[in-house]
Amino acid sequence: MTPTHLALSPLVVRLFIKPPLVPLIVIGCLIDGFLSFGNLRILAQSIGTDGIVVVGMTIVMISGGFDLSVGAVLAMGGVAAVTLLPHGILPAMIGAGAVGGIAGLLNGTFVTRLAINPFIATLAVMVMVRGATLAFTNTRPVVSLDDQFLHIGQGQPLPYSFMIMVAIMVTAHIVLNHRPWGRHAYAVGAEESASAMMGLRVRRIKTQCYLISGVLAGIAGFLLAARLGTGSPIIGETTALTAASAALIGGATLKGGEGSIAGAFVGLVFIGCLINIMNLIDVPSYYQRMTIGLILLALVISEGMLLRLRQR
Amino acid sequence: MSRLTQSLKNFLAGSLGLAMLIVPAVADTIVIGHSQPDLGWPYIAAVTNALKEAVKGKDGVELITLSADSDIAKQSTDIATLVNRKVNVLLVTSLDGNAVIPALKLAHEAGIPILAVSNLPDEAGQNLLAGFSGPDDYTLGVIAAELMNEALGGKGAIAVVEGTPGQSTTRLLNEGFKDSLEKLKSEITIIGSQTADWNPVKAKDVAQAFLTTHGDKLMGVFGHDDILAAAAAEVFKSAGRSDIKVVGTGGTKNGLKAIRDGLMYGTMDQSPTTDAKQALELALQLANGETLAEKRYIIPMPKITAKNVDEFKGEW
Repeated sequence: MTPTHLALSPLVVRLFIKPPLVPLIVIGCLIDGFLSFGNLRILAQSIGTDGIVVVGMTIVMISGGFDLSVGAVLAMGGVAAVTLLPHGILPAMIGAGAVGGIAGLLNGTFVTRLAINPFIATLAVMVMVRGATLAFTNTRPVVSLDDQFLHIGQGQPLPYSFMIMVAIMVTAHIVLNHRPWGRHAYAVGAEESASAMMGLRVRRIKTQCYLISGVLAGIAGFLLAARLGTGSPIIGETTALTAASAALIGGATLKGGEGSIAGAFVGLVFIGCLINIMNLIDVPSYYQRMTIGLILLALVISEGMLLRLRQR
Repeated sequence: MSRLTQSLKNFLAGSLGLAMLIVPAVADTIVIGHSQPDLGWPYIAAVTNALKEAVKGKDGVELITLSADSDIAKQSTDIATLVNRKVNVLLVTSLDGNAVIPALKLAHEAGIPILAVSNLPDEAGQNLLAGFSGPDDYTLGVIAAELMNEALGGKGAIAVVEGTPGQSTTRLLNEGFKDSLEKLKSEITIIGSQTADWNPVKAKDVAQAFLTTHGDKLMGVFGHDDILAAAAAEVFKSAGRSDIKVVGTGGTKNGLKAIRDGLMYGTMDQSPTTDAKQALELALQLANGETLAEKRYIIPMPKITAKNVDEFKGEW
């Protein structure tokens, strides 16, 4: 028997099999209302803020970590933005990024200096950040219906959050693939001790990854607050899961050293389209969650099978 | 159709049947869009089902329900989706009274009449509404305070077992309760208030903590819903403090049972069927281009205590 060679380029696999984005979109086109501009705009709106978080999550996962705190940081960023808004839009945005950055530095410090498992360290930071945000706001959402602020949450023809997400993704893609720092992050994730022996400053690089993730989550919080006119302390409960799902579907692994921004983008669009289509055909939300869980499982299994086929 | 086959059908539609086409709406059909906070909330689930039942009885009316799963960003997307699908009238039960406003503006600009159901958005959003129908959380708080005032004869120290912090429901219940006590010139003081996240297990812990902290001073407890209230009342009973008067909200099966068993002092009847029927009638008027005579249609919410508990059956 001749060895089975899968003559599929990574791009084809990424678009047709893991995840089956193109087939999904083809199915979507058959559904009344999917291809309308209004609907695609809603899709772009709904994945924009999550997409910014996905970039940070992907970078952290590439370096071999994980960031459970992104949802709480997103909420804190939104609250910080609305609180600082009386001083202007720019201070609000910088403030949101800054509080996110502080949370990111905490994550990075716990993981690298204190050698705490990333899940536990970021879980602790998640709970602390959520608690601090609830305490600061006295559990109430902070509200701003400032026109300029709300305008940032909208955008024509495409939502600003989506355009900002694309800009951040392109930048992150270039840094990860064409700059030394990016290659170092992959190396640290793939082989930490070897990277250290090569003279890479492992702890520093990892901390920087968490810092980036925190800043991006804060900025996503700013944009989401602008969209809702509200900085809510309880938003973002499922953000970490959505972001990790997109990154995982896009090829990142919990071991580190793998994953890409382009893949994560495909994963993000796939999940977004899936939810959008299920909404259009009136699938109740709990079945939507079940479906996403099943598909995530199926994709992970199929990845294992593809890998074995290739090795044969 | 049995519930099992219904859920199987839904599940297949979700996981396998993505290719299923939706039937384009017939021109004369009235499409009602309903955006609600979370199908996992018992009252919301009960209203949603009652609304579905009520729509079945009407020809040419279609209902699209989208659930925000407790995510305020998803509710904003849901409303945009309904606007994009050009519903004739939009029913909104908001998860966060302020965060829905930008989405409501979108619907308003698209010329879709908006009926707030079961709760009101914040003030800035209220001029976008064609009307409001339902029990409102503020009124529930007001009635609860009246019951508590009755139970304690107008004075004493009480504590509150709250719902999830940050939600409008929780906030409005507290505001209604406090405002009402003030209005009644009651000498009841609130000496403690803690969240139980709508979770009866947490409510028991909170109740235990109240007993430990406040001891004999504690004369009453307001639970933000019947489930929290009944859970707290059980703790008081087993601690030999059945004298603590417990008031809940909702008139749920749990609450009525707790009143019958002598655990709770009172609650009020908040009927999902009445809520849904009234909302549907108002929605159809709006869809036909009529304006509503009034802005607010609050459903009747009679008080329930041991005296009249047998008159109510408990719908949820």
